[in-house]
This record gives sequence, C-alpha cells and structure tokens, in this order.
Amino acid sequence: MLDLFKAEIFRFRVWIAGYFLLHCGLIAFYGRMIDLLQLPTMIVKGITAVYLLSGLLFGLHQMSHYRRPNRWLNLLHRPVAPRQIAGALIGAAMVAIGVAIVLPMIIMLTAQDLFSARVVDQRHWMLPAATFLSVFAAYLAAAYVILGVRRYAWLIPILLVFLGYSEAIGIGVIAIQALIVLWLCFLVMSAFQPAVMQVPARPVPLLATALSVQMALYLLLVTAGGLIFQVGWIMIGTHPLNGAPPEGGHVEASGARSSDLLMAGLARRHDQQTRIWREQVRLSDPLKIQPGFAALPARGEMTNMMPIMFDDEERAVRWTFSHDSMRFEGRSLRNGTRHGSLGLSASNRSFAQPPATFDDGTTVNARTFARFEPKLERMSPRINVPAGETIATRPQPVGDSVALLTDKALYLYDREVLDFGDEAFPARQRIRLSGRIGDLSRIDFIELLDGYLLSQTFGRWSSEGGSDGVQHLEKVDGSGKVIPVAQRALSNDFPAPSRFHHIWLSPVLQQVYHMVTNLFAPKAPLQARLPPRIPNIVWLTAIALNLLSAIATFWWTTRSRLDRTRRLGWTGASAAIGLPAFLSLCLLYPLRRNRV
Amino acid sequence: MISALEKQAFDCAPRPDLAIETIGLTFHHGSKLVLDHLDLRVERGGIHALVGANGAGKSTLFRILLGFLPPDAGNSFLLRHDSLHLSIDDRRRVGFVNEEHSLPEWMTIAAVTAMQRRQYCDWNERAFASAIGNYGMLPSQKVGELSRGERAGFNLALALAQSPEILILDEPTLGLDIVAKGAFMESLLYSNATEACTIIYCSHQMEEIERLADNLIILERGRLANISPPDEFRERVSHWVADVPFKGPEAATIPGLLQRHLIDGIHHYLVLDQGEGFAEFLRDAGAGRIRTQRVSLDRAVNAFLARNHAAAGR
Repeated sequence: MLDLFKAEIFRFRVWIAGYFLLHCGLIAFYGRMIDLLQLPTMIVKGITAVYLLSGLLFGLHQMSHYRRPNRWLNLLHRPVAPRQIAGALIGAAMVAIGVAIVLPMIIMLTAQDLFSARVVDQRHWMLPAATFLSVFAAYLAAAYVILGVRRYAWLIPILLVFLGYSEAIGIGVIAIQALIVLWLCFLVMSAFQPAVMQVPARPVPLLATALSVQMALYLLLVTAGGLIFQVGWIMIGTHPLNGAPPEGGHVEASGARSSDLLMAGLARRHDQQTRIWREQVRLSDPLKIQPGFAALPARGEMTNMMPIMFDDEERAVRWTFSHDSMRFEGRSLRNGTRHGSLGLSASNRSFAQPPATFDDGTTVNARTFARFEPKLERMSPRINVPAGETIATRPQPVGDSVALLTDKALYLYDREVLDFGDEAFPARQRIRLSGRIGDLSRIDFIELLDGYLLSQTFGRWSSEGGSDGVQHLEKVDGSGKVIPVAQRALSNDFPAPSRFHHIWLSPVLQQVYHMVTNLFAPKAPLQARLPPRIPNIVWLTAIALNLLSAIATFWWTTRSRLDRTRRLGWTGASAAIGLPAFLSLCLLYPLRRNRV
Repeated sequence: MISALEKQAFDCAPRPDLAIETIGLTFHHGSKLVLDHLDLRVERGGIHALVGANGAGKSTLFRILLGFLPPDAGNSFLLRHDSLHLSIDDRRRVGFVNEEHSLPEWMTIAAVTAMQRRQYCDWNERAFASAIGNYGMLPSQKVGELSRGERAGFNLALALAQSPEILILDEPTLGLDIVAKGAFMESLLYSNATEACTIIYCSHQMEEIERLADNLIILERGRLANISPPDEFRERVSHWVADVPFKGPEAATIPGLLQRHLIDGIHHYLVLDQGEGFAEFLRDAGAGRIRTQRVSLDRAVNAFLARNHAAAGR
C-alpha cells in the first residue's frame, strides 16, 4: 500500500508542485492588495468553486487513468486488498490536495498572524480544514463518477450542493463537510472492487447507493423541473413577473406604490373614517420600509457575508472586527502597524455579537445600532432593542422620524436618536409585527394627526412554498395602541403545483433535505416564518405519485427478476419516497433487452 | 440417496486436478452473447493455448476467471476457487500478462520491481533476473521510456518472478516485432519459474502455439469448439486435392467441409474428421486423380475458425 501511495505521489509530483507555487503566488499577490480573510462570502464561494473544480478534475483524471480495463486489472490483480489500494490512491489525493490547496492557505494565515496587524481569528484557522474537506468531497464524487455504474454514477456530484446549501456555520460547517466526505468515501470504497461497474450486492452499500441516487434525482427534478416550468411560462408570456401582474396577488402588492397599496387595503371599508383615511392617503407622501438583513454576522462563522471593517479617514486607520476579542482592531493604513482596539462606548466593552458595518462608520448587530465618532475615536451605541429581539434593518429616516425594524416590531424614533441615543430619545412608537419577519415583504404607512395608518404585507416567499400573502391594515394612535383596520388576503400568483413541487415530488426527501441543510445550523431569527398552508391538492398529488411509483416499481422489479425480498423492499421504498425511488430503480436495475 | 440440491452443489464443486473450470458460463455484452454456456476444464500443468477469432470471448473469459466481470450465469473456478471470491492469496498465485502491458509509465523499473518484490512473498529473483536478462534495460529507466517489446519482457519477468501456480498470457506478443517476439518466447520457454506452473496462452500466432502448447483450446462464438493437443487437432483436418470434372459436388453435400478452392481447374478441399471414406466420396463425384496432404496447424485452425464462412457460401 505504501508503495502504491508513494508511486501515486511521484506520479503527480510536478502537478502538485506547480499548483502549490501558482497558488502561493496568487495568494501573495492578492494578499498584498486586500485582506483575504475579510472577503465577502460571495467571493469566497467563487474561490471555493475553483478549488472544487480542481478536486473534481483531479478525481476524474486520476481514476479514469486506472479505469481502463487492462489498467484496472493490473492495479487490482495483486496480493493487496482493494480497500488498501483505494486507500493508497485516495491517500495520495489527500496529500496532493493538502499540499496544493491547503498548505498555501496555512502559510498565508501564519504569515498574516505573525507578520501583520491584520486580524486573524481562531475561526480563520478552520478555513484550511473546511477547504480541504470541500475539495476532498469533490474529488471523491468525481472518483465515484468513474468507478460507479455509468447509468447513475454521474448523479452523485449533485450531492455536493449540500456543501453550499447547508445553513451551518463555523465548526458546524466542518461537521457537515466531514459527514458528506464520510458518505462519499463509503460509496467510493464500495465501488472500488475488481468487478467494477456493478450495482452493490450487499445491503448496506446498496442502501447507501440507492439513497444517494434518489436524493440526487430529487434535487435534479426539483431544480430542472422548476426551471423548465418557469422558463416555459415566461416564454408563453403570462408569467406573473413578466408584464402586468395578476390583480390582488402578492406580486402586485410587492411592486405597488405605497399609496396604492394602502388604498387597496382600505377598499372593502366604506365608513366615514375610511373616507377620511383615503383622503389622507391621497394627500400624504406614504413611507415604506422593507426588511434589510437576511441574517446578521454570527460569532465563529468562518467567512463574513460582507467585510466587517470601516476606515477612520482622519487618522488613516482601518478598523476590522475580531471575533476573538469581539472588538474592532485598528491598523494604520500608512504603515500597517497596530492601532489599538475599539469596543463599545467609553468603557470600550466588547460587542455581544459581531456587527455588520457600513461605510459611514455605523454598525448594527442583533441588539445594538452604534455609530463611530471620529473625534472621540469611540463607538457609541445609539439604539438598543429589547432582549429577545433582533434588528432587521438599519435605522431609516422616514419623514421626521427614524424607523427601525426588528424581527418583532417596528420602532419609530425622533431623528435626534441618531446623534444622542435612545436613552435621551426613546422610541415614540413600538408597532408589533402582525406576522413573522421572514414572511414580511414591506411596511407602508402615513402619518395621521393622532398616529399612523400602517400596512404590513406578508407572503415574501409565497411563490416558493412560503405562507400565503396577506395585508394587514392597522391604525396606531398616539399612545401606541394598535387598532386593526382591515385584512386582505393576497391571492397566490403561482399555482400550488409550482409553489410546492419540492413537496409533492417526494415529501420524505423534502424533509431529509430540510433536515440535512439545517443540521448544526444556529437559530436564525430573521428567517422566522409561519409554516405554509399546504393545499390538499398537493398532498393528494404526492399520495397519487407515490402510489403510482409503488405500482410501477412492483411491475419493474418483477420484470427485472429481483428476488422477493428486494422486490418488496423496493416497492416499499417507492411507496414512501415516490418518483425518485422508482427512477433510481430504473437506473440501478434496467430491464434487459432481448439478447441474441 | 442425495437430494437435487446436493447434486447441484456436487456438480458445481470444482475439481482439484483442474487449474481452470467453468460450468455453464454465460456472459452478454449488451445484447450480444459473448460466452454461451461454456463448459471448460483445463488440467493443471503444461501450456494450454487458447485461440479463437476476434470476439470469441477469450479476454472476457479471462476477466471472468480473475473476478473482474461477474457472469450472467454459470460458475467459474480458478485453482479451485470461485472467481467472484478470489482472496488476496489466490491473486498471489495467479500471474497475468495482457497485450497492453499496462504498467505505471511514470515509475522506474527499479521502483516497480521493488514494489512487486514487497507484495509477492514467493518472489523468485532468479526467474526475474533470468527473464529480464534478455533485454538491455536499466533500472533507472521509466516504464514509459521502454519500447513495446521491452515492456512486454519486463511485464513477463514480473509475472514469472511472482512464482505463480497459473500464468495467464492474453496475447502478450501482439504488436511486437519479430526480434521482440523471439526474446519474449526465449524468456518464457527457458524460465525455471514455469516448470511447476500452468500456462494459459492466448494468441493468434500459430507458430508460437505450435512451438509452445501442449494443449489447444479453441473458442468459437463463446463455446468450446476443441480441446486437444495441437497435433491431434491438426490430424483431424485433412487437405484433399482432386481432379473433379466441372464445378464438383455441391458444398452442402461435402462431409466435414471447412474450405474449398478451385486452383487451375484442380479442386482443393479442407475437411474435418474425414478418413479414407472421403476419397470414396470424391470418386463418386467423378474425381480422377486424388491425393491427400498434411496441413499446418495455422491453416487447420484458420480453416476451422472460418468454416462458417464456407457454410455461408454454400
């Protein structure tokens, strides 16, 4: 085994060294210009995609070389167990990935930590491990494409989407990646047998293979099916987002002018008060607020959604937030030296949660809006929201006020709050949200003589399986008392089969997908949503599809001459999982053609 | 009295005196039948030549025997062990050389040799040195730098040094020039490692087979068409030259016909398993002068394998 391992390293030594040098060069070049550890998540995902592609290509190249019949025979026909041979090849690949991709990152981290004033947190030391596991997973998926049965092996790389769709952060990401790597490793080891290209015969490898193929098919059908449906609808020209939206629907509401939306909310009321409100809407300049953050930075996450830094231009200092000290760490833009730590208020206390930063020197974390005061070189809290609430937008000037949205309520302050804080200028109004922040599309309001007339529109994800759209109209009086005015259900612009295709296609796999993507995920208050009301037609479709799949599976297994146990097993699986299970059966056990 | 199940198990049990045994071995490649209920028994010891037209199923048979292809039906045994469950030790006892000589091109001869030496506990250094001595290779040379003939020789030397109980050679001299072929045959014939070894030699080179083989196995369309010593097979094919008037007897009426040619008005017939009775047949067909002559193994095998073409032309 050691011989094969060394031989494989020797085989790729030039490529490994070349990749290592190129990688080091690129990191050194870009590291001179920007702080690579503060890159936004989108850029990091782009770079990770290049790493994954490297892993995929390496796996395809390495295994396709051996997969030719005579080379495969030469490799495996020797007094060494196949798993040891696989271990040698995979071990060599691990070393290659480690040297070419991970080592330059470790060198960069070490250099930045030792020789610069840039922030290097403990969380950053997880990046090499996370990158290694991602690339290794891609390598294994590619290896399986070559070693597995061609009819279905090409589907396995689809499972890599779990690397990107997982909601886990920090060490949770590593855990998810490790689980995916273990799963793929098991698949590759199962396929690494002399009689390659065979459907596994033993129950556990067969189960792992079938489940992987089914999940990949499910993801493919959901994505491709949804895409084909949407594109087809757009081409027909009646898509709700293509031209005039349907009346009374969420698409219309989300794009409407504030005054039109308020008028629509009042449409069913005909009393004297409503006539006055309509007149006031007509005469006023309505205000609008929408949720700003999908999520706020969380302590320990490996990358930042956006860089957590701002510049003090007067002193030429760049303040970068450290998850370790939970303070901003200053670095001189003139000579790169350290320039102290910046916490909150005069006491310089640490932040409770990492904040999002903005170019004007303001920061927002879950509970505090703060502003950097250059003259005092101090980060002064301006607004604190009550415990248990999470800020969902930056404070926004609206008319004479400042509005701040949290996951529970809308707060209205005097404008002075931005300069003197909420101790001096506490919230004038707290208006509770009528739904969940994750469903909220917009809030529109006008100022009345004795309060506000306010519309809350929900149903942000209704077209993609979220809860139904609804508009709540309320009057808030001067004392903060909320009086319901009207409620308008917004029609669904997208048909139920389109909105819930991820459910009726396979309720079981949808749950598995949801469970895996949310494994090790922290609470996300800004994503809170009401569970959707799923129409009966969706459940009926799912049941019918599962039944049809079970019947088709039974017929197919009879024709495929599977034994009784497997016939029953597959039929049961199709009854539970539905169409993906039947399709996976067709790929695993195709019907034999007439032979001559 | 034994039950049907016991009888079936008994029928499928490998015989200890056999190096290779297949029972009802069937394999399809897509919709094409490659091996057709093949029953083959190869005794231990000696050199067994395996011949057949392209697509006869020779390489498929080897892959099934080595456990690299599962058959659609039937059983195969290598050294009494089920091919689908060959252990590490079984693989140690079986040497295999294919026509591609697919060794790792990036490794040096010394590195490949060292690796094989460590993996095979019965490594026969003398056999290796003897076989490789026919070639002027340097240990520091990479496999990728070797000529095709040198690679074949190196591959054979590695296989012989493993001290295999059975050595399978799948068209090992394919594409080699005459000098390389000669060196390869020298290495094989004069190696001390082959004394206690069963050799299965698949080739289209009849002169090699004539020189080497103790036994001739002919596969035809996935079936066993012959298994006998080469001379015995050659005796079965006879060449008759007859002065028959006009176009001679209809092909369909000629017993055991493999091939026939009309050269300068004289009829030439290659027939299988025909004795003096064939002369009577020719005389009855009006033949004047009749003579018979021996055929080479090459011609006998070619005529045997091409007999369906003759049938098609009837």
